[in-house]
Amino acid sequence: MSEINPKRITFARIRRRLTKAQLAKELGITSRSLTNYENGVTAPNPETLEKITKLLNFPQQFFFLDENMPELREHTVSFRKLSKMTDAMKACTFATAAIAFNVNQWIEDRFKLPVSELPDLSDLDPEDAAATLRRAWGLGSAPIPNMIHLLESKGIRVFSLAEETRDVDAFCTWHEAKPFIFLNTMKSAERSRFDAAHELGHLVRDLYTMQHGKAHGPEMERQADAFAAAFLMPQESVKVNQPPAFTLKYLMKLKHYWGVSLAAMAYRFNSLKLISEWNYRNLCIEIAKSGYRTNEPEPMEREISQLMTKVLDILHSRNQGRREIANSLSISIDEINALTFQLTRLSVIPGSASARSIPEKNPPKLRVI
Amino acid sequence: MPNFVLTPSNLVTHKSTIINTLPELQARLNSLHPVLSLTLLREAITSGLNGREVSHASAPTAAGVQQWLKTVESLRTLLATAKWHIHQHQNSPFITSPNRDISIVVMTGSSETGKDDIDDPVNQAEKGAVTESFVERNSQLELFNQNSLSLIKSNKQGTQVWVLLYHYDKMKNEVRFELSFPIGFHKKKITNWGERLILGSIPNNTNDFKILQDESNIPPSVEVEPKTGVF
Repeated sequence: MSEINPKRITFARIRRRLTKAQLAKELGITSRSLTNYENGVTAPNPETLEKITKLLNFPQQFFFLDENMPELREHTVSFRKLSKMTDAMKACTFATAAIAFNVNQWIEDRFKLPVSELPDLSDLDPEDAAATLRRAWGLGSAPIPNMIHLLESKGIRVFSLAEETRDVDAFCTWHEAKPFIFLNTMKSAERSRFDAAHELGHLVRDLYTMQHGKAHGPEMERQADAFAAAFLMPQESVKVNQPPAFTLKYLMKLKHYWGVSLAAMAYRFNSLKLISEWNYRNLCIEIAKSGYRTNEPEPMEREISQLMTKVLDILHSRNQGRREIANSLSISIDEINALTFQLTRLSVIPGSASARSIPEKNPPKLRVI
Repeated sequence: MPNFVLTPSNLVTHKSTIINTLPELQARLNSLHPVLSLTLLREAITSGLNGREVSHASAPTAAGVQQWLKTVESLRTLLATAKWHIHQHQNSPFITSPNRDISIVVMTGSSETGKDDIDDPVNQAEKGAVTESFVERNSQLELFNQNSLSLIKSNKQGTQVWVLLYHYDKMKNEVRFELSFPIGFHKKKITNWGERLILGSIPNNTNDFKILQDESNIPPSVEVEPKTGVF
C-alpha cells in the first residue's frame, strides 16, 4: 500500500464536522500532531490511523488513495441560508457533495444516464422563465406529477442531504458541467418538491453567477422562490381555478391538486395579487397557529428517485448493491445511505431511528381486556 | 262584540326595509360610514370561516364558537385600523366609529339570516340587558325620526347600534350575512329590524368547487441502462 494522502484526513475530519482540536482530543494526541498529519509533515502510526478510521467512519483504504476528493467553491453552490451557516457546516456540506460526485461518477461509469439539457433562461424574469421552461419541456399548465423524476429525466442528478447536515436547506451546484441538486429530505414532501423547483430555478436562471463564482444575494433567493411557485403553479391555471373564498378548506383542495404546501398555495395567490392583504395575512396566521408550517396537513406521498431506484434494482439483479458502491469508492456504506436517504424505497440511516417517525402502515392492534 | 287578539307591541308587523342590490348596498354602507364596505365585511366573515377549522379533539361547539370569536376579532381589527374604537360593555364586544354615531356588534342569526324571505331573522343566542338597552335606544331613535342616523349625525346625540348578523348553513355549507339595524327585542331575542342590508353568502363547500383540470402531464421516465461489458 502506498502512502497516506494527508488531504483525505482533512476531508474526513471536515465531513464529520470536527475541528482539529476536537479530533486531536478524541485521538489523544496534540493538535500540532494532527496538523502535521494533515500537512503531510508526518504520518500517523498504524494505531492512530486505526483510531482515525473508527472515529471518522471512513475505511482505512480511503486515506491511501492518491486522488484528491473533488472540491467545491462556495460561490458555485446555491445556499439559501448561507449567512446562517457556520464555516464547519458549509465545509461539511461541500464534503457531502464531493462524495456524491464520486458516487455519481461510479454510476455513470456503469450506466447510461440522461444527459443534462438545461436552457439558459437568465434573461427572463422568474414568471416568464418558469412558463418558458414548461413550454420547452412540453408540460402545459397541468401539475408536475413528480419533480424528482422530471429533474432526473432532464439530466439533473438528485441526492439527499446527509444526516449531519439536516439544518441546511436544499442546494444545487454544477460539477464537470453536470447539474446536481441536493434535497433536504427531512422536510415534508411538499417542501422538498418546492425546494427542487427552487433549485431548478437557480440552475436555469443563475447559470452564469454559479459557474463564475459570483456571490448569491437574497434577491436571487427571492427570485428562485418566485420561479418555483410559478413552475409548480402556472399563473393562468391558478387564475382560472380561484376558489369562491380564500379559506383553508378551499386551499387544502387546491394544494392537493398542485402538490404544494398550504403555505405555498396561499403565497402564490398573494404574489398574483388574487387575494387581499388582509385575507392573506389571516391565512398565514391560521396556518402558523395550526402548526401547518412544520407539520403539513394531509401530506402527499414523498417523491423518490427513479434513477437511484433503477440503478439499485439493476445492481441487485447482479447481486450487487450499496455495499459494492461504497467498497469501490472506499467509503462507508453509511455515506451511500445518507445520500439516498428517503430517495429510494429502502432508506437506511445509521443511528437516526428517533430523528423521524416513519408512519406505520400496520399499526399494532390494541384491544381492551 | 268583536273578538280582539292582543299582541305584544314589538311584534306589530314591521317589515324591515331590505337592501340587497350591490349599488344600493355600497351606497348605504358608505352613508353609514365611509370605511364600511362589502369587501371589508366579507373579509371579516371569511376570517370567521377559517376559525371553523377544528380537530376531532375539539369540543362539539368549537367550530361555532371559534367562528364568532374570529369574526369579532377580524371586524374590530379591520375597523380599528380606520380609527374606530374597540370597547366592551359588560363583556359584550363593540366597535364604534370615530365620531361615535354608529356601533357594530357581531351575532349569529337564525336560518333566515342573509335571505329576503317572508320572515325576518332573529339572533341565535339569548341576549340580556346590554342588547335589550341598545335595541330600545335604537327603537326610540327610529320612532322619533325615520332617518335617525342623520339626526344623530346632526345633533351628535346617541349611537346607532347595528348588528353584523351571520348564519352558518350546515346543509349548504355556506355562511350568509347581513348588517342590520335592530329595533325590537322580545323574550331575549331581537325580533324586529328597521333595516336589513343583505350582504350575501360565502360558500364553504369544497365538493361544489371543481378544479378545471388541464390535460395531465405524463410521468417522466428516467432512462437508466447498464453499459455493456461493465458487469
